[in-house]
Amino acid sequence: MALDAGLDPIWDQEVRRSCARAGLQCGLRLASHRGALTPVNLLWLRLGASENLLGTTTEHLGGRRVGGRLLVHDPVVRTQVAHAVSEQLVVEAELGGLDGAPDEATLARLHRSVTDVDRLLLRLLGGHSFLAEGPGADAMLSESLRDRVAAAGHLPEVAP
Amino acid sequence: MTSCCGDLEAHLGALRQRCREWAADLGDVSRVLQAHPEDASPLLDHEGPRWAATAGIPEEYGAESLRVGRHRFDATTSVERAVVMEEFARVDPSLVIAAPGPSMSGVLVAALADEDQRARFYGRLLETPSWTFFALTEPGHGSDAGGLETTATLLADGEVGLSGEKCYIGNGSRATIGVVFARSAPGPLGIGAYLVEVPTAGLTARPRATLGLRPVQISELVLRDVRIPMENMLGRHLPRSRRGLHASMGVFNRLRPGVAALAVGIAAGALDILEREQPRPGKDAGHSRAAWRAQVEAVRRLTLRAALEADRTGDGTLASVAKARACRLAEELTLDVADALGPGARLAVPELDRSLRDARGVEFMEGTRTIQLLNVFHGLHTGRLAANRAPWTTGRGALSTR
Repeated sequence: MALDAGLDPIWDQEVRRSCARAGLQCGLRLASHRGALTPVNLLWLRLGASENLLGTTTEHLGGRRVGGRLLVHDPVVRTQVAHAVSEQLVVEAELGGLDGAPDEATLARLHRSVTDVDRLLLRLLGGHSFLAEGPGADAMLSESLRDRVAAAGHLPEVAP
Repeated sequence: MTSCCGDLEAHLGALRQRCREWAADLGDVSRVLQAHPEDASPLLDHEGPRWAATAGIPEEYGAESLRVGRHRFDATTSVERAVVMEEFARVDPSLVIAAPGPSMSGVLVAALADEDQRARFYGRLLETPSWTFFALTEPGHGSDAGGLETTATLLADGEVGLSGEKCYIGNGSRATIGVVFARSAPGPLGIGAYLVEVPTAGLTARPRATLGLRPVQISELVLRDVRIPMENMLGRHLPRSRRGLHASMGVFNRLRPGVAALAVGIAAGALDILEREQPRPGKDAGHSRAAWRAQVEAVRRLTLRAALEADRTGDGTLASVAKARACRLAEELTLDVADALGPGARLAVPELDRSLRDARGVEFMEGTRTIQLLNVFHGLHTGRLAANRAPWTTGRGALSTR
């Protein structure tokens, strides 16, 4: 897997796994320790958070019934989850195949892809994802990370 | 609609123009509401929201219609409400959703209530600007109203006891009157709607912090043996088949274009932000903007067509098309505008950040996109959509929005 030149080669995988396991806050803490924040690392971070959101969503759908049927058994819901996974894998493939630093247009497109996947998952989570203490909060933070880094030059500080 | 003068285009145009003027003066109020979402009273200092406080109440109950030139408006129709909601939402959807007034409950009261119930409900709102709530959704059920668990029990003294929990109720913590849906028997015919005045023993409301639409104070309601008189059951004069959940569906059909209009307003407002922040786009960006404007105009026309259809027939298939498409447009266009303005724009332009968040919120009002699209398929399958398609081929006519 090609990574940005001069970076710790495990930065992206480690931070991303942390995000996918424990959520964006955990990933941000680890990322701030690892340093070497590049535009591509930021995308890995967001992809990890998106994978965490996918897990939250499938867990939610597996426990919620509509009309007596579990939502996760609904074909419409299944195709939407599958679409989300597919898009995540496309982003992963593109990030993994990058050779050198991508241009601004590519970065913007990849960020938008992650945002679109997150928005799809949030819709599947329903109104719960619109509450400030729900899974939508991490997704909104992830969505705004690029803006925050552009404004401050570093990742936002998170509570210990 | 109180008057039409045979010219719907001019009628709606006059309403749109007046609402646009009102909303243009509410930018500061929007910022105040965002900073202090728990207090919506600043809305009452302004003419537009004050009119909204009684809009939807028919003149015969004492409400004063809005007069613009030769036109009169009372916002009792879906199409008038759609115009009002879009124009306020273009500045900030909370300016209209968090405003006092009959709102969703008013449409239900108009459809189901008897004369005494209407007089009491409208009288309360005419006496003093009052917020209302519409308590249908419950934890764990979301859009599945058929799974409703809140109970309505006939008590020995002839009163009704309401017990259960409701969630995602707009203005729930500030409302003084509203409607609670509850079940008195199994099945859809066992679900009824009850007028509840607040404060009342056993009812508590707690606002929840949300990621957008903060001034709406989306709340949880807990009802523990709330006692109301039997006279508060809406549609008590009607047979069960015309007052239960099925009857309420017709009301949702008439409300849905208003939610679509909120989404159109958010999308149009995002374009306003883009043009304000980046008044001279490059050639390629200019093409994108023209395409975005065309999309907003198309979905606006679709929404107005859906509202007219809901008013004319009570059918909500086109309203589902409009709601699903408008919410998608609002989400996509706010993101497109953020992308066009580049990294950092969300922090530099607070209205953009608010729009991005609010666009997510309207998705969950009156059924999510998936529910709406399933309605659309059902409409196609049963032939209702085909029956509604003919008017789409007409020219600009009554739906001109310029």
